[in-house]
Amino acid sequence: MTMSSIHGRVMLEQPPETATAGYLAAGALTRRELGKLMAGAGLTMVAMPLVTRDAEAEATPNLTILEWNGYEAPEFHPEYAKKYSGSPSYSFFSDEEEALQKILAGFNPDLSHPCTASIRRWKDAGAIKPIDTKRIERWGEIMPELFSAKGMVIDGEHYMMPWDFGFSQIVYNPDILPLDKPTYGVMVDEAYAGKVSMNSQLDVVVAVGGIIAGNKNIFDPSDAEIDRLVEVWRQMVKTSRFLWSDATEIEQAMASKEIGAAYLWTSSLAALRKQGLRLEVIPPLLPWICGFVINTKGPGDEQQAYDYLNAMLDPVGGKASILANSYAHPNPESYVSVDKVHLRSYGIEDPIASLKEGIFFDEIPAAKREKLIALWDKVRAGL
Amino acid sequence: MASVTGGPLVGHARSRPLSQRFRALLLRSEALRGYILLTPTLLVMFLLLVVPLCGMIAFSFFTQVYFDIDFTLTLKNYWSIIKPGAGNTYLGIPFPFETPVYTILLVKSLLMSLVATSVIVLMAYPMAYFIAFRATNHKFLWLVLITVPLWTSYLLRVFAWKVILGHNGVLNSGLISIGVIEEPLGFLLYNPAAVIITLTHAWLAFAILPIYVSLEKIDRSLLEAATDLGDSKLIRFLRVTLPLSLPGVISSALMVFIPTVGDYVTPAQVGGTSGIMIGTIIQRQFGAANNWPLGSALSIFMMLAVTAIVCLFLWGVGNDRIKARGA
Repeated sequence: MTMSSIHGRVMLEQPPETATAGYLAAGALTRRELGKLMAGAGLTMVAMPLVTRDAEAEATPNLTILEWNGYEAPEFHPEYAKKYSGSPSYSFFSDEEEALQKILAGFNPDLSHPCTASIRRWKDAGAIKPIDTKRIERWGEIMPELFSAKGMVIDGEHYMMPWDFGFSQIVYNPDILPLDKPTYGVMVDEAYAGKVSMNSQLDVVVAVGGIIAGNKNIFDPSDAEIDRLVEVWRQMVKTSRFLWSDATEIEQAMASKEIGAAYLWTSSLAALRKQGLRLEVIPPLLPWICGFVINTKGPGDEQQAYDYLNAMLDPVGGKASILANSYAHPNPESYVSVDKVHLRSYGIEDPIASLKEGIFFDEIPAAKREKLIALWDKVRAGL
Repeated sequence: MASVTGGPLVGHARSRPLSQRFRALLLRSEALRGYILLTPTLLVMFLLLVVPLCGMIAFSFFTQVYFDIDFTLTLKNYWSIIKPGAGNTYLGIPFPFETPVYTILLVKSLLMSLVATSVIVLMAYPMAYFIAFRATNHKFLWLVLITVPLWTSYLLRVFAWKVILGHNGVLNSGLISIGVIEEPLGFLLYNPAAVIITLTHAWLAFAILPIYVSLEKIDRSLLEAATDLGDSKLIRFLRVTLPLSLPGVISSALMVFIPTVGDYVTPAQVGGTSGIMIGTIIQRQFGAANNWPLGSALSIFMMLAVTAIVCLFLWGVGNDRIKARGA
């Protein structure tokens, strides 16, 4: 449209042949020349995106990560952000099983962030592939003890790059619940019904319920132990005001003093303490290790995935994550300039030793898991 | 058109090019024209409703084996829903099934939905009545105002109720500040009542419009006639207005009841541990429980139950009418 109308105007204004030179000298164009010019401009416009895309390919993020909320800060991956002048795109989850189902239903991230207890399950589902550790320059800097966690290495292959580890725990607010001898029993105590809130993830209720039930094999309970566990669950569902699944949900409820005791991730504990809330931790602590896995059908650039993994091991980003979430980082260098008081208050002054405290989140064997899920669903429904 | 050439009609039609024959067919057949007009809608309905539904029906006959699907057709999923067993009681009703949770949750969801629907229709009727009969100048404005709550997303409206009913919520802090209560009321949120309140608010607008339309259609001279014949306002309403607006009431009730039975977001947000519904457990099958076939079977089980209730309801309404006509 535009071009033909311009042509039209030029045609109308076209001077007699003899005057062409004069018009050219004055900066005007003949119709033919204008045509050439326009064609040139058109070609350039068509070609430009092709050319620039090629030139910028190195510098734009082409990576999708299925993440927990709160790990997407560019400060955690400064190297990647610098190299690709931006951050990857993130999609968020708050329950590992939901994340796995999202992947199985056809959402394909390049990387995701489950914890050790789920890795075998994710591998069985065909959702992840082994990591080529040679492509991660800083792989050697990872604290070697982390690799001894179950699930980290399957059949001699690394399926996870450990990244964050720390605790979750039952905490209580002494201003609301003045407990004499705080134990996990607070979660099933009828005196505190409606003042406590449990998390809804299976692994969590198996761990906390198993501790309350006094089970020996918490993550691989016998039939008798399962019966006891279910009894505890029934009580737990009755006393819980709600079963939380999203961290902000429980943080708000604790901040408004609606809830006096809850299962809490350390990042939430740190956030609530920053708001000036008095919260005490009830032993035992529940340590865990999470990390990154490479998904089988990632649509993005695999090199970028490895670059991201390497960037996440950078001590600069590590320090930022320790300060922000109060979880430990796999690179010992990250701790060098972090305030010891901060580390101590979240139990990660000696991060490896801290993993041996408390009850580590182990994997639940596949068959038992199915059974426990069915039972937990039944109990959740109030039966 | 063909008669202009004067040749035998049939033979001529055969020799015409395909496009002309199609045109002729199109002009002759009203049904075909109708279908062609409907094609985009039918296509969308087929792709987004019929195909997934068929997929779900098929899935409900498969079996989940860890992360694989066993495609052998079986009724096992349905059987697991209604397999007899020791059972449990709910609201004093025995549910003698091995896994009574499904049937109990279904009944609970149906009851909660029924209560919500009744409340919604009772609240929607006066509003629709007002707009149809009392609002004279700004009817359009009133109708637009009714849709205002729909301008925000459903999820936000559910969250809004969390803010209103919550521990430090609008209601509690308001009551505390005027000195009615000292401690926040805990029973406002995280129970079936909170779910019903939220559903009522979220679906009210959908119920008002059909009732309004049926009230608007009522011939005003019938009302005048009733008054002339000596009916009081109440009797006139009961004998003329209400029966004539029943189609609107029925469609409102269905429009609210059917989608709310399977609602998942509302119980998840404001239901707490006691307010969960069948939608919650179906969602779990597609999520953490990793059992799509059972989830599909449960969905179909729920749809069948809803269909049965709707048919019963419509049959009851129809029956009443026939009786009324006979009398």
